[in-house]
Amino acid sequence: MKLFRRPSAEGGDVLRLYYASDIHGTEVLWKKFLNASKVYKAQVLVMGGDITGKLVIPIVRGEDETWTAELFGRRERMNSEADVDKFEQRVRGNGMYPYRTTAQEVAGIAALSEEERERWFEEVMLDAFRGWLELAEERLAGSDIRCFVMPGNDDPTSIEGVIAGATRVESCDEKVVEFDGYTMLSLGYSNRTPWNSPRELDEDALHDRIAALAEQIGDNTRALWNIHVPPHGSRLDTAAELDDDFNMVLVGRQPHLIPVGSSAVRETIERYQPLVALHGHIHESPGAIRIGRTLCVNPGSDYHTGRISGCLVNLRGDQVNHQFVTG
Amino acid sequence: MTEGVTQSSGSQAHFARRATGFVRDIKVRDAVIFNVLPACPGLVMAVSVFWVLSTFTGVNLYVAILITIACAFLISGAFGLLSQIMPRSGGDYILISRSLHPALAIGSSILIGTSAMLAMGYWGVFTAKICIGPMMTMLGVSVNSHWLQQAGVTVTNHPWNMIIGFVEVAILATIMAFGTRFLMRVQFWLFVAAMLGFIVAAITLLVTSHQGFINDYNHYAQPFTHHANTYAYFMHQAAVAGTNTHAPTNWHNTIVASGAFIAFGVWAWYSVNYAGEIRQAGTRKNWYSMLGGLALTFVPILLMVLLLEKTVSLPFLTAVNAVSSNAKVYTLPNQPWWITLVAAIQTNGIFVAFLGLTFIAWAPLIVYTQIVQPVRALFAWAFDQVIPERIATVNERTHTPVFSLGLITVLSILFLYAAAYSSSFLNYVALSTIVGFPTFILVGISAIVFPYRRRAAYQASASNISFLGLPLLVYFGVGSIAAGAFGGWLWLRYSKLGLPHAGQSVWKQLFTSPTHGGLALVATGLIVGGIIYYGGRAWRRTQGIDISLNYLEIPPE
Repeated sequence: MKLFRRPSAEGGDVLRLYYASDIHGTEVLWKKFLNASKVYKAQVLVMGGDITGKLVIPIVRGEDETWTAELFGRRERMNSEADVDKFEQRVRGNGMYPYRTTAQEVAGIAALSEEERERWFEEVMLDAFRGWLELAEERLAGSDIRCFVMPGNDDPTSIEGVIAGATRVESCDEKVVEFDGYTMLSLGYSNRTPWNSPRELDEDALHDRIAALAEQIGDNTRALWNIHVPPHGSRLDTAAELDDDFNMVLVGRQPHLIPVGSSAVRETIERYQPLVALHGHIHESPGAIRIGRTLCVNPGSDYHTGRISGCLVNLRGDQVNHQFVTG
Repeated sequence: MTEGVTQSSGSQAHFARRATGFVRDIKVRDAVIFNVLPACPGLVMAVSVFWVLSTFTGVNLYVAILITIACAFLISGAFGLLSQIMPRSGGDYILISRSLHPALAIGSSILIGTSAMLAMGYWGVFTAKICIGPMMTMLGVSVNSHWLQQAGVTVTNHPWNMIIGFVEVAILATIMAFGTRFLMRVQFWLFVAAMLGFIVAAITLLVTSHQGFINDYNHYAQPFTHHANTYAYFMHQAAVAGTNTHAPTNWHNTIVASGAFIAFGVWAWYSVNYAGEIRQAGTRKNWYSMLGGLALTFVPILLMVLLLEKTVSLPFLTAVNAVSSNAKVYTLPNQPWWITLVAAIQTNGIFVAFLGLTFIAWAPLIVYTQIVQPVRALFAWAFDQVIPERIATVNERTHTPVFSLGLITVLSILFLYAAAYSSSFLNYVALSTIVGFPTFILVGISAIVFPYRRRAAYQASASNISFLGLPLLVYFGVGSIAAGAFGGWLWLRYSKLGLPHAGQSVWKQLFTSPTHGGLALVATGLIVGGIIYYGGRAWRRTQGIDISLNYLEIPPE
């Protein structure tokens, strides 16, 4: 019975890693990410970028001690502290940041210059993110779980400093880290996007940074690459083409889908052939492919559904298999 | 990167950053159309209405249809609200596996898949039998071509009906392989053509008086029946054969007859098979597309029944369907369906050709609908690694699951052969109806438990709607269970609906061959589902993969 002779999924010599990315400020997904090690019996957690959200929802205190806010185009009125707490929970659950404020402050923020407003937004985000890291300290305390967190192209550059200050969560961006006989290089920058997001590089610069990290590893046979942007033309990078005004380019009245991944990532994977390459960035293009011996995965993201899309990577020696999971 | 302020109501602004978006291929409009297709008004009118009238004396068609609409509304509510939470391709498998158990989900998927494959054989062969053949004959009569009339009869017999069915499936599979966007364009234009014919037929009935119809029909039928008043002749012959064409409303028969409409009419949720490919499937538009499909199915059917009653009269429809199986009495070359009755009113060759061609457009629409479910189900099983991942292979250029599509196309030959050659195939078709009901019940249970078992996903979803303190999903879950149990009970209880062993004890319907008993087939499907799931799980464990993890929700707290 050769079929049943090999070790089971929980077999002793298998190292299981859980990878997810692109949670975009959704607090419930962060909580799920932290709990993934228990549910999936994973020894290593990797968050591959785009952690922060895109919207701040002001909850405005009125003169009559009530609060009002607008969510999904619907104006909501809250009469008690408990109502506000519940509303805030909904906002966080949808990848947004609740912000208690006054009508005067909202008007003041709206009047800020773009640069000043950006700084204000960043402060709100970082404040929320510090809370997330505190939660991680609490949940991972006393365990052997290694938890790596890397910012992506959508995250502000200042977030790296906040991650570096944490104790149970390990910063890994632009570094090589080691665990259980494996090495992992990480890079959260992407190639250029139409959004001109905070952490983007030209393909040449991206190539140089990846190559430098790969050279640092030397032998990539047991290397994992945690690179936010997927390789170009890999089917893990298919997205709608956009024009200069961020409108979808339509061909035959349908969105024109094109590969938007990085050619630098593709070239370096082809050259160094790591064991696994972990990617995110393109939410709508989940999948797994092989480039030579390298298994490349992108679990995609459905962050607005409250379910976290991830990938379990089982490592045994220089063998690897993967399993997409949605929790 | 703050992008700026989206001002919507004075100080109640939200502050937005620039970020990437989600893109899917199928428009909501196309999803609405897709949800009409399992119950194409043209074909359902041709098959179920006329079958019901001749089988259930005293049936009130309107009430039977309204019962079906209520069942369809409840079932599509459960499917729609769940699908908004889990907008992934794979239909009932996705919904049940994430709420109850993957083994039950695969069992349900097998049952619906069996139903779809049998329907593919049925409608594939019926493309020649009720579309192409009758239309050629109709046109032959109109332009006085004996060859066309003869050819119309020839193609309805095997092997031609099977060959036409297979050519149709192969063409449809090829179109599907070219990608969803192209497929949706084909779907849209075929639907427009088919509906145009339907509307023109409705207008024809609207502007024709009852007496005008009698005159036109007698004139049309005279060369075949050699009776000056064929209308009266058929009414008389039906009465002689014991058909009561003026029976008072029989409510018992009306309720039983609703089972016939339920078999065709409760599939407005079918776009869940495509949920991973529909734009905004995580929003309420997903459910609304099902409600839109429901309206677009039944409003035309109800209007057409009203018009047929006004112009043709229900007693005559009952009579002509009753005599149509008696070759000595009914000597016309076409079955008495709504389309042929309209063609009898206006016999102009161009008009008849237009009616015929637009009617034929329904056939590929209904056949292609049957291909979608098994292809997407196999894809979803393979994506969850229950079966080999190769089956989930997607073409790089067209994003189509080519392997599963090819597999289903090859398998369709068996079902087309059975439909064309097996004398008991109609029994199998009746069996294929019963297998849908357990799925409605399982999805109903899933809808009830989901808000409590998968709290975080439910709360973050567009389906997070409460009514009187309970999630809306719970109400629709109970409704779906009730509708599924009601439909199942009708089919298991009343043999007139065509299920073998119907009306006999549960024991006899369960412990018999799956080809002879509805309950036996259901039990077989569920057992096979269990075998596939646990077999797949054991096989994957040898590779270090635990597929049971695919179905868990991570608790956030």
